[in-house]
Amino acid sequence: MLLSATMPLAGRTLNLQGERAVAIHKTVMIVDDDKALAEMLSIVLEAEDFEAVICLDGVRAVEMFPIVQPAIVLLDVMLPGLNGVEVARLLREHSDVPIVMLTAKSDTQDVVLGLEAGADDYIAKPFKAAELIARIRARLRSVAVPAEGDGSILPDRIVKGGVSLSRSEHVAMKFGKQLALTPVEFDLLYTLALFAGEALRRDQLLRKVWGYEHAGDTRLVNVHVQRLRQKIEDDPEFPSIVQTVRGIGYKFVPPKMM
Amino acid sequence: MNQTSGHRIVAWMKSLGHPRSWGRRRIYTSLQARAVSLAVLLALIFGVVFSLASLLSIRNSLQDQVSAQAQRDFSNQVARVQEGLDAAQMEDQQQYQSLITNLASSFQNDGAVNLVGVFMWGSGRTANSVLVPVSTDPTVASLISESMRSAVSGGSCGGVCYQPINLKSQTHDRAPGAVLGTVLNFSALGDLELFAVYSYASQQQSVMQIQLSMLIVIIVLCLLLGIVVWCVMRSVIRPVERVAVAAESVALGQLNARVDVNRHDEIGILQRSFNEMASSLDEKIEELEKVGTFQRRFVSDVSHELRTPVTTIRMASDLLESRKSSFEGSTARTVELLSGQINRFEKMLADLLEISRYDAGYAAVDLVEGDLRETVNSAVIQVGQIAEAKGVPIAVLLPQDPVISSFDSRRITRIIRNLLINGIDFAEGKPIEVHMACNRQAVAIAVRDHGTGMAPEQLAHVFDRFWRADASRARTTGGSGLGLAIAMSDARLHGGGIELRSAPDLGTCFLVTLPRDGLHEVPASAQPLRFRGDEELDPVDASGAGIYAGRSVAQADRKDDDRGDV
Repeated sequence: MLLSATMPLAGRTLNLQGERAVAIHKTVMIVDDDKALAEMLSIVLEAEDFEAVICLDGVRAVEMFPIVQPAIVLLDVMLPGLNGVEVARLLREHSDVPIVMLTAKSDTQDVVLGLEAGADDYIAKPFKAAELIARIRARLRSVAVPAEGDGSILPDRIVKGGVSLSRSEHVAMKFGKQLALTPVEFDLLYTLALFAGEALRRDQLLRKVWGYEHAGDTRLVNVHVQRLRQKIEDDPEFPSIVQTVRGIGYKFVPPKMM
Repeated sequence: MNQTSGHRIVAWMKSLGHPRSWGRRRIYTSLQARAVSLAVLLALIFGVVFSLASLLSIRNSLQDQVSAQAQRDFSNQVARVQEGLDAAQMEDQQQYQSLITNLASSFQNDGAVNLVGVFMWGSGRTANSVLVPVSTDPTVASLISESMRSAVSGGSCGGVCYQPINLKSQTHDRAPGAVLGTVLNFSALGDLELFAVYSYASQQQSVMQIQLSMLIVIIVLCLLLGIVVWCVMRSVIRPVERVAVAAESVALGQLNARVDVNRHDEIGILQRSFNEMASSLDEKIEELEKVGTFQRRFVSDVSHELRTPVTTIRMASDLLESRKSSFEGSTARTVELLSGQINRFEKMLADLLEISRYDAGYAAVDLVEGDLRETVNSAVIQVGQIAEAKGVPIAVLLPQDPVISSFDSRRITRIIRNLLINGIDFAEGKPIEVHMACNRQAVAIAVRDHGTGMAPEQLAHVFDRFWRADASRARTTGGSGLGLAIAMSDARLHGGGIELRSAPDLGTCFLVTLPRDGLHEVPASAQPLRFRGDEELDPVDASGAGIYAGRSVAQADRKDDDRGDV
């Protein structure tokens, strides 16, 4: 059964003309074949002032995406028709929208596959509502926006060697060439560049980039570092800019200007 | 197939590599060698007995033949000499003397080839005649014994006397021979005594030759027999051996081991039946495995399928929980209970899923290099609330320097957390200590409580699923009953292990050992590692083997002086 994206939910109107809803409410696209879970998710999200759009299968999700233009996508891995990993790959081709995988399997392979396909984060079922909300908020909030109560003001521009980053424009350049980074990759690079030359632990990165309160899955960091390297390094096999520090984590080494 | 014989053959095959103890060992271990040596031995005994018997009879008949021949020759010659004597018409003694000499030499010349010599002398009964004894061979006289002479002169043997003697010859020290003697009637001079010596040396030679050739024949026969038996046995044993080796592989778990069926005799039957047996064994085990896999899959699938509805329930209860204040008393309490039990259910589900992952063999370690101290600290922080609620202080004693090693932090955190939760359950409010020590290869983490402890017979079950030390005791911290089983699996997956020592009322010490590279197994050591203050848990008597569960691990006591920088 295909539920249309306009599944009517109380107190909500949806602009189907392909224009971004101007409401303050951010739209969350829920892609899950389990109706009960999807509805429960939408109830919880709406309680948190999000707008929720439900898609019950992968093909529909890819079709609806340009119309709904959600701020974030919650994507189940096991979907009929087109599975979550495929959906993530297709969405990522055209959009930088944050994708959070909802996975019943937390086994390495599935998680890594989802992350490699372009997902920014994942959350293993069963999860707590509060945990999900925190993750969604973390994904929607750019790292460059100072957190509440955090007095430090992060610089808008970072120029380290041949790499320059602009927070407001969300643009990363390497030797004058723009890098096509997803928001989370930009955040990761921004954070690493901010502490250039300093080794950051994976759990520090998880906290700063992904907004994890407690210890999280370090695979998340590893996979995203790999993806960042694919885009920024001359030879991703032998990284020179985002280097691994054995036993600690990663550090940013500014590339020398030619 | 008898397994021990398989062992034996394999042992024998191994012994081929050790030339020193070869011969002796083989007789005991190899059917082939035993058969060959037995056959050769029997053939040898039989051959020797047979040849001895036949030699004896050959010698006897040869002897008879030769002595008869000598007697015949002697009689013939004697008759001719007698004729010569009878025909002689001599007057003087000299003529007689020369007659006798002539007769003796013609005896010698006409006699058989094995005639050694002739000796003739007059008994000298007449007074006026003294005959000089005539001898054709100088040694002959000495060969004629007194008894022979007296027998001849006394006429006791009636005609011809016969006496076997030993001769000395050029070729042999001792050669058989015989002396024949008789009395000749010589009217002119009285009786003459005639002796002739015959040598049987050539017969002796033939006997020796027969003996020699018999010996050669026996040896050759024995060798041939040995070779034949060896070949026959080999053709029998080779295929049996192959079956034995295949049986051995099956015993070692290689169920696809088969033998080639290349014969149509009894061995062919053995080969075929072995293959059939192995196949049916293989099928049975495969069937069992399938059932096992199916069951494990089922558990895994059930756990998986449960996760989505649990998530929904969970969120629903979270939502209710957040609005608890708007409910009246009993409804609010209901929401509380619901939420608490969902938490518990969720934990159980997670543990069940983890166990099913281990059972299905899907568990994989995600090794990342890091400081183990941080992981231990985070595990301690995670159980902080529970510990506080139960009033159990946790003291953490970690090395000063970072303990860098490769590990799966999720699993290590879980091990420590599960051990701590277990410890808190039984600590009875007494403090729990967490120690850590390391050497180049391994890291040891001890979680020690001073609570109820366990009796030796209980220790073996600690890592069993859903096992409770005291069935009447409630799980106050709400563990799933799988925590320690998972912890053990996690440690093993890292190539490490968990060792356990405990004494009633003195507490329990769980010792986790992990290889630093996360790959190589921690080498086992005879001495279990211990931390200060653990002495009280040591078994008092030597029979306290049951006090130790798990496995003993590397000596990590010398932590500071040989810490390797990994």
